[in-house]
Amino acid sequence: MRPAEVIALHPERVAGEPSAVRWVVPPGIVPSGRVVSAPGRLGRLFDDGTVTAGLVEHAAVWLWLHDGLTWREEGRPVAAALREALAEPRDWIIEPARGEVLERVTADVLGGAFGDFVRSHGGAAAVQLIGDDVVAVELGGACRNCPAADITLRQRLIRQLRQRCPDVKEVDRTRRGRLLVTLGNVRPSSG
Amino acid sequence: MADLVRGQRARVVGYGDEVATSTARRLFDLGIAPGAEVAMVRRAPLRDPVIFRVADYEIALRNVESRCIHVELVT
Amino acid sequence: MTGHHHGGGSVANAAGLRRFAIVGSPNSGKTTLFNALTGLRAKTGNYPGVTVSRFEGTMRVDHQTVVVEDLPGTYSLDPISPDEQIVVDVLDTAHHAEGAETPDALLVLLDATTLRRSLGLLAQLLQTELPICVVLTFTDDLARRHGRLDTAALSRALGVPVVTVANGQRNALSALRGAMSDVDSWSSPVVPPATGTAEVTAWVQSVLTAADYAVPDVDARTRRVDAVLLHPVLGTAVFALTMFAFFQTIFTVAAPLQGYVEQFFGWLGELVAARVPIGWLSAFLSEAVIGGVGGVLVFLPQIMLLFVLIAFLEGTGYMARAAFLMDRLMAPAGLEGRAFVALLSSVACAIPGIMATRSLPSARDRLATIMGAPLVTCSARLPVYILLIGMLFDSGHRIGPFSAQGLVMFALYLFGALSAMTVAAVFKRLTAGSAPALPFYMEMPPYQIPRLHSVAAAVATAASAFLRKVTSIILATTVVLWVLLNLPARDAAEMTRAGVDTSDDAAVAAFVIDHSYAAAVGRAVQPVFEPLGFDWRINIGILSSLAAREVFVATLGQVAAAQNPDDPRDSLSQMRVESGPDAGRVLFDPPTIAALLVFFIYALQCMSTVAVMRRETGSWRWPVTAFVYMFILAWLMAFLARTVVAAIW
Repeated sequence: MRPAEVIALHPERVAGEPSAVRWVVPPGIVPSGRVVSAPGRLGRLFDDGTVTAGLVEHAAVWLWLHDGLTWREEGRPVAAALREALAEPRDWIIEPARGEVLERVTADVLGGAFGDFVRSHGGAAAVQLIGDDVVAVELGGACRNCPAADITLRQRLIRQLRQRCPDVKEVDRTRRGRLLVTLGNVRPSSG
Repeated sequence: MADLVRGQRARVVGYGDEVATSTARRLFDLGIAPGAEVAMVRRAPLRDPVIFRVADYEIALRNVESRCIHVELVT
Repeated sequence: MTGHHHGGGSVANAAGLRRFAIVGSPNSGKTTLFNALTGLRAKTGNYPGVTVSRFEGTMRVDHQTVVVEDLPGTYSLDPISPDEQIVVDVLDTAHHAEGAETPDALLVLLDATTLRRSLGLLAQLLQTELPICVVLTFTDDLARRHGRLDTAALSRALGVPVVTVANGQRNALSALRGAMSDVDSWSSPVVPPATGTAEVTAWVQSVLTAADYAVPDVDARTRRVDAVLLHPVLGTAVFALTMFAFFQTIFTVAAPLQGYVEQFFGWLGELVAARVPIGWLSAFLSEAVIGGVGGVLVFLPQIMLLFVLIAFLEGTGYMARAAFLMDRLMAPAGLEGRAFVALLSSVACAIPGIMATRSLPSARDRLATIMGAPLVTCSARLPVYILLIGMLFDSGHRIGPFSAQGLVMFALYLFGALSAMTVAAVFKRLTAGSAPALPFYMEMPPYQIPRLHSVAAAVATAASAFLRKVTSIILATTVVLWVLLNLPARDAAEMTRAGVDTSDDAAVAAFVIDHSYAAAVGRAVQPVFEPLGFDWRINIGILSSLAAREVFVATLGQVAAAQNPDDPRDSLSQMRVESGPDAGRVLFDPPTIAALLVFFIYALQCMSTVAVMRRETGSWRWPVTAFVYMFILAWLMAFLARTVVAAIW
């Protein structure tokens, strides 16, 4: 394969979910949402149940393995299949799942450096999906009533989320200690 | 790659057929891989070897080897 | 993780000591890190059966002792040289090579300024499934050159822990020590990267993007310096200047220091003469021990200075530039620029020169250079040359505008260098077909200010090899020689019968030496050396010099001093051939001196060199070959020199 054709990707662990791997891929190849079907070998892996679910982020593809299977065994073939499939983006069938994608991404961000930052200040953050499109982040602990926290944490979180999902938007700024976000231009169905 | 002049930049396209497998592997491990950008930095006083910049570092190669590395100029 | 039991040969045979191995490409800062971790507790040696240095040491992590091994620098686990093969063997968890224990955990050193290339090696190392912690070096250089790297993101993308070590900071190693104390917490990649070249390149690209890696600018300082040092005209001039400085060091710079050493040994000699009552013991100490060893140690300041110069040049990165400039000239001999550096080191002493051949990736190149290195004029030849040249010309004599003595010395150095290159070329050709020709490549690292610690360590290694030679071989040889020259002891009656005036010390000493065991040996080998114009006294000098060249001067000194204790130099020039067709001729006449000088250019007269050759090539075959061919060559060339000089003098 000539280098130009080989998609650049690498796997990252998902904290707390050993059956999941977040594959970091070049951004924007495939629209974000839940994977219904995929071309080639990856599609077959979906069909025979090796891969049970897939979720596409702006620059990553989440894949879940069937219970009992390990990434140690299945990792290589899945990586090759994913690479192959991404070369044919038009043959993917993705159903929009803004809420689910955003929830996953937010949970991931909260599990990473941002979450460590919050926790180091004695605070806590929890994520919750509201309706189909809106994700709520609740600040708790020491951060709940801190006005500074409200502003700085909001800004930081939005920035980090935007790195992962460029079309993230804040919905409602009024509630102290609570951040509501959604993806894209769709008006939320519930406030 | 031996024909580059000072300061010229090029992209590695491939190796000649005469290159041994072990040499090809070594060139890859040194970062002189297809797709990589190289730049000619300077020649030795007697025209050989030549220092190239590739993969963010500088390496000296003899003309007899660099002749077998095919490149295309980058504008 | 443990449970492998291997053969011996390493620092810690005791099971239970955790083993770390430092892996990385050459020039990534491994040696500096290894020295920083193990301090002076490192042991050096060889891997069994091969000529690759082994560096192993211990350190304390969390109140426990652990073993740290500095594996040879490698660009890939697809080995191209013996050094790289060692890394593959040590890391091979499936096959336990003898004496090379598989480490428990790897510290993979990656130069932060060359990540695009070095991640390729990491991709291969991740296949070994050993616990890996990435250690980033030169992160300060990365920042200085406007590069950027998010180490936390890098760690997440790679799936392994990443720590940085910043030079010069007080707690530079704290993060690393922390990681080393908790190997079980090291994460591993959920899926190791694929092995195909295109896939690895893609993986590296993906990882670097995720880690927000910004390539550092070209090192401006190095570029500016190289514009001068590698300039066709300026660079060559600087190089010539460096070589000149080299040789100035040998003769001029070290002179005052040599004076001090000479004074010291002179004082020591007088002390012995005054304080030691027993006649023979006093003679033994002053002649054999002080005379022999002292005569050699006089050259220690000079050798140390050369070692310092070499280590300094190596530490700044200039040696790579020297090799680059000289590569084209080495090519006709089938060698490369780095062989020049090894031969240059041999000007101080062939032992570190031979060890410097380890920088040559090609085994054939290593062997050829090892066989040629002893011909480079080393410091040991200097006492001999100075003595003999002094007998040939006196210091005022001039040939044209040049000092005759200087001219001869220069010619000897030139001959040595050219002969070394020729011999290396011959051996390179002889070994053709034993291994495929390797492509030449040489990394040009950025210039650095060498750390004092590293320079000192390099000088100490080279100096200790030299001192070991002095204290063991030279001392032993001069002692043995002294014994052979003074036995069998003669009693007064015997001497009177032979017509010697027993009250004349000089005559007594001369008689004893004349009829000593050494003399018998010297006469026995006369048939070999007669055509060269040597007599038994020169013969025993030569035989003794086979152990170490410097002994020649001590031997002749003893013989001459016996005849004329006040002015041995004069005695030497007065010596005449005693018997045979040439009887009555001045012994040290120009043809004989020429023959002697040329003999010393070519003969392998250094048991230490033989020992190092044996160690570096792994068998006796090559040192024996070297000894034999060099002896024959020396004889032939000496005969040629004698004939030529006799004709034109």
